[in-house]
Amino acid sequence: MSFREKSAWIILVMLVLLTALYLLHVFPWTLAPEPSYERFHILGASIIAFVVIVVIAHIVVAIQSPRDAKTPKDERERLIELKSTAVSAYVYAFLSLGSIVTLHAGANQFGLAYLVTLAFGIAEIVNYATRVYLYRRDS
Amino acid sequence: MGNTSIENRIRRLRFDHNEMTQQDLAEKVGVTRQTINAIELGKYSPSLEVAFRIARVFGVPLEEVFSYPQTDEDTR
Repeated sequence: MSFREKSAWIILVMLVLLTALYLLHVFPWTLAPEPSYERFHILGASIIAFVVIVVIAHIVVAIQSPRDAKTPKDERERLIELKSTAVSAYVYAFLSLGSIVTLHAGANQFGLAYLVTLAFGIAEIVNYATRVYLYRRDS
Repeated sequence: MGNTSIENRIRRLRFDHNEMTQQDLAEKVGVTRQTINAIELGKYSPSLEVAFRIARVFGVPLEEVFSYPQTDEDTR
């Protein structure tokens, strides 16, 4: 498995965990929530933990295969990145626009913000899941 | 990406050149070992530049490394 594929796996797993945490402890499950500093702090701490864990995991993987980590992306890896980003862009656009529609269903600005944040998380999961799929398919 | 119609003889050429490894070929061409593997398995079509580089490593013309099989549509 190449460094970039391992990187995609690391970020995918962490994104799934972060989104699950978001749905369990941050997402208000209502269209018109009240502002909540507690939810804001939980989300902030989760994002910081996400960044720290991802960085540490990448350092560990890079130490295991330093030559692979230093190698620049080749054409196939760039193509995989482009394809997966294109797919996730469509997902994010669809979910974001869908979030805006909820304004007509009684959502307030806080509900919209939570939904757009969720849309971003789902789109990034799709991004890295697509990368993993494309890496595996070519193996 | 995914299965391609282009066939190649890279594995045979590697064997004929002192049993060159995929990693060795990848380093000479400037791609990852996984990309060389994907090319050999017919799951990825390299760019023209990479195809030429592979041929140059083996010191043979491009047509001796890659071939595009003729289909019934080509003969119409």
